Parts: sequence; structure tokens; C-alpha cells
Amino acid sequence: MAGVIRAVGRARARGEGRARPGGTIAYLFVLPAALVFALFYLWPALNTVLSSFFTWSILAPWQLADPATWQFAGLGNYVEVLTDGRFWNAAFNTAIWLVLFPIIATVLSLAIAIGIWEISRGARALRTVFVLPMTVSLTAAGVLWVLVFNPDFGVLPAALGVFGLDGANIDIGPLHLRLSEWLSNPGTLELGFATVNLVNLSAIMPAVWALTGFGVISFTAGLTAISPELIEAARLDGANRFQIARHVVVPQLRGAMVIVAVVFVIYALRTFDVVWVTTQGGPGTDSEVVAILLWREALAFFDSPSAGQATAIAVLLSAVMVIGAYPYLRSLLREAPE
Amino acid sequence: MARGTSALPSWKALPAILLLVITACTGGGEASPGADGGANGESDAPTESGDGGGLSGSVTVVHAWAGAEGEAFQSVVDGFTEANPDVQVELRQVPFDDLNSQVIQQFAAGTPPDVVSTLPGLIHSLAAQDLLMPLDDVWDGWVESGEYSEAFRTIASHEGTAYGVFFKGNINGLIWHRNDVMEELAIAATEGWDDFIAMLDEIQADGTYDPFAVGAADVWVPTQWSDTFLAKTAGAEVFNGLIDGSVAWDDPAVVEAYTELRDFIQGYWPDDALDVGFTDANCAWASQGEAAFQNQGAFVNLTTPANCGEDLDPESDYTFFEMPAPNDEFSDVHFVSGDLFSVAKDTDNPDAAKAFAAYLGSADAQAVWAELGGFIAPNATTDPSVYPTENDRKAAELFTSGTAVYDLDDAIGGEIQSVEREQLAALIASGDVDAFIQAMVEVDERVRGE
Repeated sequence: MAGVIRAVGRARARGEGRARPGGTIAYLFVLPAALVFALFYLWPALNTVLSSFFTWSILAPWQLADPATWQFAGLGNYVEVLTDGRFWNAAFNTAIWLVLFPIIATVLSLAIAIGIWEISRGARALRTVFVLPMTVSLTAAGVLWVLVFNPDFGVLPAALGVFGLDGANIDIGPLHLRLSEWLSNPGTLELGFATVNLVNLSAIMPAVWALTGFGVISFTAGLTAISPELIEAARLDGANRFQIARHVVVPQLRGAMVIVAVVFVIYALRTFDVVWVTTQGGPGTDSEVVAILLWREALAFFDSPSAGQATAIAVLLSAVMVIGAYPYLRSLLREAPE
Repeated sequence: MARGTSALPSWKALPAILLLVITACTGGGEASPGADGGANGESDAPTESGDGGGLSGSVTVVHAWAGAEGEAFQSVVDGFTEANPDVQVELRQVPFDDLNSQVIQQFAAGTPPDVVSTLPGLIHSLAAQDLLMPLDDVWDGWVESGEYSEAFRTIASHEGTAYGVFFKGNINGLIWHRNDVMEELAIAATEGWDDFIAMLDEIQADGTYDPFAVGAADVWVPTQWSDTFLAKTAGAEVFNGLIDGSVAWDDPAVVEAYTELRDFIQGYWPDDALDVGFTDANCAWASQGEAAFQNQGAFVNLTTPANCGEDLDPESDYTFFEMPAPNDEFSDVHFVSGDLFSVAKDTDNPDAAKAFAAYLGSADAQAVWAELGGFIAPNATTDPSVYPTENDRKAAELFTSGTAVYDLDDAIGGEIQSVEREQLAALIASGDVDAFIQAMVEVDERVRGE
């Protein structure tokens, strides 16, 4: 095996085995995948971008092949979206997701992964426990947490009730927390320039519960790749457990962390399902995120010609996601063979 | 969104999202509003049930009833298939809250069901795009024979053409109460607003029960309250003016009605109303002894035993009185609603679909559900003796008495309906009437123009 690897290495060094640039066969191999990509990814994306420059509704759709359906709006849909307070409210709620969800889920999954890595017995069973929620769809996770929050028979109010905390009001500086009405009015956090409705946190919790397992798996994979000699060397140098975790383990997990964080950021940006089943973006628009606004503009507001605004939101959201995914894309491209 | 999509590499996630968006927003380019599928409502379909009529094939029907109501609707459908054994009726149930959006997507994608449960607002939107089959010939016979009045036909019409049939009527603003609880609290049904408020204060002071159980997590529940307050505070003219756009949302009478509602919510609703759904609230009142009253429609007569315990007996265990009017002048204004059905213009089976819709509007079909309870037959020739309980008979009488106004948000539909529902939730949470009115003025201007 080692001989084979050495031979391949020598061949690479000589430049053998690489596809010749412009080789027809190579292009033919790529063609089926390229066609699928063009048809099912590129064309819909292009169609979305084009449709965002027209005024249309879901019942009177814009169609590229039918000029009779063209009602050109230019950048009107973008102007309408960007000057709409509702969009900025949704963008703010999405920003809450963007900040809280990746941080909570990444830190939690890292802590769990390291904790499990540290123990010698029952690690596999524990890991399974934390990964298991990943097998539940986010919609189901949301429904489950609606039951957890239920004021009459929910686990959370019951648990708080044991300590006499169900319905308690907690005011700590800018934080006004109500330990009740989890899906409608659990309180606010005053930031000075804006108010964070904590109902967003109630929608984030099911997503953290369901997706932390992904982080645990990723970090566990990273942890198994850490050389035991490194840990041993740190220990011999007198580092305690926390110092080892802080100065040896975490830096070694930087690659896994980027992947986990980017995946969580992408999810936070496009989150829809779990918010829909828990709060439907409410009460009012207190927890409405951009993806829900997009859906409403296209489908709930079906008598209004606002589908163009929905696609404008989709384009803006995609642009932000591409920017958010840039570190991951860059690392992928860096790793790709030339 | 699909489970675990967050685990996809980000470069794959982006086009997947765009694909989702394009599918949702353009219907894959297959939408064909106005296309002539050859089923333009000109069929000679038999419109009475029972003759067989040589009908065959399948008919897909989208409706929103689940549980006991779903079973009752199945019984109605069975009546049609028994009379037309060569027709297969395939029922597809969707949650009521999602009915509009799902139906819209199906029509936009060019794959609508043959027959679909509709509300007046949805009929306007679909008929405006020429997606529904005209049903005027069916209505001509009904109006002539006295089965329906012109008023019903108008509600089911768009620009003078009927596109829907009435199937199920409902009267709302009914204060449901348990007889044993009334006895325990030594209170009785009342007709005057002041007496009603005094009774609620008494219940609150007693502390054994909450005045009301409210399941406002379901978006249609708060509209049950707001429409009742609007009808009985501002009257039918203002109510109907909001529907047709002739009255503005910042009209003083409208503001007064919603202020009255806000004060009532803050005074007598449970704090966690937005965290509880209809079914839980239904049982909190009916079987769990948490609340003295529930403000709901007549259908509760059927759903209560099914949801909360088969041993609950309509009439002997629970009954209702109509909510008194905050404004005495409008005490005879009743807030009613109803479920309609429409036929897709491009249905593959126009004869059977139209015959099925006509069957649903007939007294025969409506009697099937009426016999099971929790149902008001809008067809005037339905035999009143079919109603199984006094509760049902009382509700049916109220349905045809006084001045009726039809469910506001269902009548308007679309963006205004969607925004009203979400703003009502915000009003419940914040108590800010001004914010509610401003949001409604803005959406009204956006949809109807200034």
C-alpha cells in the first residue's frame, strides 16, 4: 500500500495522470452533471433573478416565454422591499437567529463533543443520545417543543413549577424575562437601539436541540484526528484540562468549527420550518424571519402582485448566504485538486 | 424544508433554496390561468343526487375538516357515492389555516383539485383569474325553488357570477357554558351587556374558574372574537363597509369596536391565550373545569364530545347563549360564516365534479351532517327536525334571524386577511389598538389603493 502511495506521489510530481486541459473526454464526463446542474439549479436561479424585475402574483405569474405576462418593474421590487419596515423587522429577527443560533449550537456541540471525548465509558451511548434528535425533522422538532412549552401540560412549565418559577418575571438590567407564554410573550431584551423579542429564542431552542447533533458528529471527527502525543506533551508541560482544551484541542478543531459554523449560519439565514410550526412568525411579526416573509409575499398575499417582491427577497437572501458561505467555499476550493 | 438540509455543503444549499423559491414563485411555469380545459361550466351535468346520471371517473375534493367533522363529511360524501357508484370521490384534508395557501399553490401549478372548499375571499381571487367553473345554472334552480336566497348567491359570487355552492352554515359569537358550572356559580344566561360584564366580574371574583378558555394560537380563533365585537359594536353597515372597502379601518366606529375588544381581552382572557390551541381551550372549558365559558361557533356542539370526552352530552351538559351586544342598537346583528365549495374550471371530470358540488348544496346532503349535529344547513328546505339536539335547533334558528354579517376576514381573503390575523395576535399580546389600526389601514391601501 505504501508503495502504491509513493508511486502515485512520483507520478503526480511528474504531472502524469492529470486530465489534459481541453480534453473532449473530460468534458463529456462532466456533461451529464453539468446539464443536471444547469437545469435544476442554474436555470431556476436565473429565472428567479429575472422574475424579480417584474410585477406578478402567484395566480398571474410572470413567464419568460410569454411576453403578455411581462410587467416590467425594473428595480421597483428591490426598492419596495428595502423601504418596507416589515422587511427590516424580518431581517432583524433573522439577524437574531444569525447571532444566537450558530453561537449556542456551536458552543453547545463543542462542549458536548469534548465532554464525551473526555470520558472513557458510555461515550458511544451518550453520543447517540445527543445525535438522535438529528433524525427528527425540524418540523417535528418544532411540534414537539410546542408541546414542551404548552402552559397546561408542557414539560418546561411543569419543571419550572416544581421550583415555583412558572410564570415568574425576571428583570435584570435590560433583560425582562417572563417564565411563561413561551410562544407569545416570554419577554424582551432592550438593546438601546432595538428590542429583541425573546419569542425568537423560543423558536431557536428546538433548532438547537435538533441540530446540535450535527456539531457533535463534526467535532468528534475532528477530535479523533488530534494526535495523542500533542495532548500528552501539553500534559507533561503542566497544562490542566481546561488549558489543554483551550490551547490544544480547540485550535486543532478550527477546520471543523468553520464547517459547523457556516452550516449553522446558512440554516439560520434560511430558517422557516421550525419558526412556522412554533410561532408562525408571531405574535404579529415579532418572530417573522425573512424566509417566512418571502413565503407570505408569494403565497399568503396571493391577491397582491407581490411575488416579484418575494423573488427580490430571495435574491437578496441568496446574496447574503453566498457571502456567509464564503469562508467555507474558499476552504473547499483550496482543498480541491488542481 | 427537508430534514437535515443544514448538513448540506453550503454551495449545494444555495441552489436548492433557489430551486425551492422558483418552484414556489413561478409554479414551474406550468400555471395556466385562463386556459380552456374544455370544462367551462357549460356541461349538462345532472345537478341532483340520486339519479346516477351515468357519471363516472374520479373526483378529488380538498377540504379542511378533521376528526369528528372529517368523519361527518365522509358520511355526506358516502351519500353521493351510493347514488353514483361509478364515481370515486377522493378526499384530501388540509389544515384550515393552510387551506388558502395550499389551494392557491395547486391552482398556480396547474394541478387543482376538481372540487375545493372555498371561502368568499378565495372565490374572488380564483374567479378573477378565470380558474373556477361558473355555477349560475345550479343557483338559478335553487333560488327559484326557494332553497337559497339571492343574498347567499351574492356571497358565493364574483362580479355577478356564482362560483361557489354553500354547504355548511355556522353562527358565531355563542357563549358556550356547562350547565353544572352555571348552577355551581349561581349564574344564568343573560342578554344585556352590563349584566354580562357583571357576571364575568363575579366569576373572576369567585376565582374558581377563569371567565373564558381561549385557544388563540389557532389564527382563526381571535377573528371569532373580533368579528363578534365589530358586528355588535359598530353594526352591519360598518362591518360590510370594511369588506367592500367603503369604510376605512380608522373609522371611529371601527376603532371603538377594537378598543372594546382590547379592553375585554385584558379584562377577561387568560394570559396564555396565544400559547393554547382551539382543541386544548375547548377541553379546558368542557372537561377540565378551568373556565366557565368559551366563545365559539355552533360547530362546537359536535366537536366537544369528540375532542374532550364522549360522555359529554350536548344540551344536558352544555349549551349556549348569544353574546350580548356592547352596543344595544346592534343586538340583532349576528356574525355568521359558512363553508362553500367551488369547481375548478380545468377539471378533468366536469360533469361529476359539478354534480358533486350541486349535491353538497342540496338539502339531502346537508341533512346527512345536520343529523350528526354541529352543523347548520344553509339550504332553506332542509327539514328542521333532522337537528339532533336543542342546541343545534337553537343555532339554526339564530342563523336565519335578525341581520347577518358574513365572516369579515374570510370574505376579504388574501393579504388583508393574512395581515388581520397576524395583527390580531399582536393586539392580544401588546394591547396596542393604534398599531393594529395603522397596520390595517396600510395593508388596505396597499391592496385596494389609496
